[in-house]
Parts: sequence; C-alpha cells; structure tokens
Amino acid sequence: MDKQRLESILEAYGAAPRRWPASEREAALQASARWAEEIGGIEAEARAIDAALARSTGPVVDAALRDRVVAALSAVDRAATGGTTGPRRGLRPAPRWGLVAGLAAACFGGYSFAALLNADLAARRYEAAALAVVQGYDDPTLDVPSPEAHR
Amino acid sequence: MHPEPEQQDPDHDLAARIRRGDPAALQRLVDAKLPRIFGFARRMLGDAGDAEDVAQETLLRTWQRAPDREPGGPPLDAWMHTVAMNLCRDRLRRRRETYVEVVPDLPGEGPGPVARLEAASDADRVQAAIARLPARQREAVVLCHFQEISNIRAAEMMEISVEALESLLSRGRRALRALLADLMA
Repeated sequence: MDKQRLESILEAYGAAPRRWPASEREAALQASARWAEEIGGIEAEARAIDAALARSTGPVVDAALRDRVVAALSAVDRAATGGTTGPRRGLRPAPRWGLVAGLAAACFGGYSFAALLNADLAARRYEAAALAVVQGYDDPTLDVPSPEAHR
Repeated sequence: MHPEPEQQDPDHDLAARIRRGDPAALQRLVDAKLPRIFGFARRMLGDAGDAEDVAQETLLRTWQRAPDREPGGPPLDAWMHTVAMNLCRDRLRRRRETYVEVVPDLPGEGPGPVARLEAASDADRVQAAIARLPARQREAVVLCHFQEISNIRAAEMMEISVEALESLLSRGRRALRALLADLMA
C-alpha cells in the first residue's frame, strides 16, 4: 500500500483500524508503521476527530419504548399479511390488500355486466329493425346494424 | 474498489428463528436491534420522537417480512439499516417540505444557532454538527463511523460505489472537524 492510499483511508475512515476496509486493514497497518513519521499529522487529526465524535454517546432506549415495540411485534399476525394491531405511534397503516383485491373484482364485475347489457340491447335493436323491414314500414330512428356485429 | 471478503451473516441464527416465528426470538430481536436502530435513527433525524417511530416501524417490518426474506440475501443488520435509512429519508423529506411552508426563520427570538450550539452539552453539540452535514455525508458518516458498517455494505445500502462513499466520508469528516474545532483543541 502506498502512502497516498493510507492517507485516504485515514481521512475517510478515521484512525481506528477496526473501521478500515477489512481487505486493506493488514496492509494499512504495515504502511502506517512504515510511514509513521510522514503521516503523523494526518493520523493525529483523524484521531482528534474520532475523539470529538466519541463524545456523542449512543442514545438509551427507555423501557416504555421497548415495551411498546414488543407489544407491536407480538400483535402481528404473520399468517394474515399486513395484519397488525399493536400500539403504534403516528405510523402509516399497512396497505389492506384484501380491500384492494375486492375493489378490483367489483370493478371487473361491473364492467362485464355493462358489456353484457350493451350486447343484449344491440341485439334487441337489431331484431326490431329487421321486423320493421319485414312488416313494410321504416323507422328512421332504427338503423339496421350488420348481423356480424352480434356474432 | 477495495472489496472485502463476503462474510456470513453474524445474525444468521437470529434471522432463522424470526423467520420461523419463534416467540423467544422476538424478544431477542428487540433486545439486540432496537438500541442499534434507534441510535441510527436518532443520529440521522436528531429528534427522539421521530427516531422512536422509525425504530418501531423498522422492527415491525423485520418481524412481519421475516418469512419472505431470502436466506442468502443481505445480512439481517444491513437489511434493517436499509429499511431504517429509507424511513429516515421519508421523514427528512416531509420535514423539509413542512418547514419550508410553515416555519419561517424568526430573527431575534432567543439565541441563534451558534449560541445554542455553544450552550449545549458535548454530546448535543456533536449531534448538532452531524445534523448540519449534507444528507448524503451524514448517511455515510453515521453508517460507517457510528454504526461501524463495512464500507462495501454501506456503499451497497446507499447505492453508490465505494469510491463515492469514501469521498462522502472524507468531506463529512472535514466538515465535522470545522464544526467541532473547539472540542478538538
């Protein structure tokens, strides 16, 4: 590993080897021993930033949050997709796929019924127009569609 | 690119147990991952209430979707962090929209941001400095420095190259050095 790469690692990941890329850790440790003097300033700066960030201790999870999460997870019925009943704090509800499927089925059913009704009306109009021709009178409101249209 | 060897998921057993719905695994999942995910969300969002919501939703999704997770997929911890990160992004986006529309910056009402930063505790000041980073730099620093997620995994989660991740990390740390200069003296 060259000095430039070692400097890049220190600037990106800091001075703690455990945060360095695993595949380069060993080589970086050797390089850091080899160029200890040359990289001293960069390493010291990386260590100082690490120390400043270490003043931010991790937030503590209180018992109320833990209990709420356990209750929420315990209330999940994994057999029914998305079925949760646990206490939640201002969270978006999961999508109700059963309702979505029901609405889609209703829409398809309505469309099919309308199509059948339309076909039935067209057939009746054709019959009326054909009867008018056979009986010798002409109704201008009745146009005679091609019989092929009903096949 | 400096790839790391693929490692087995250290949470392999826990992941298998929650996939089976083992009730004891539920407690183990909460104990092992809630502090970690809450800490991640807290640093990403700055607000404890929002972080609690994100942590709860992340664990809920983990438990709900466990049967659907492929055994050979991303490690449990990385998968959970990805869920949490996306939830944090949603919250930050909504927050920006709300703040721009509703909350004007009122000069002269109480101490300014610099004075507030100086008055806060060291931990609060570090948190405030993290909050001032651009979003992508903040994600990179929180994932790699605080959560100690590997560079390759973090780059995958952020959908960028390792080189791009390193650039974000370097710029983020330079910005933090400037913001926390007196803590480093």
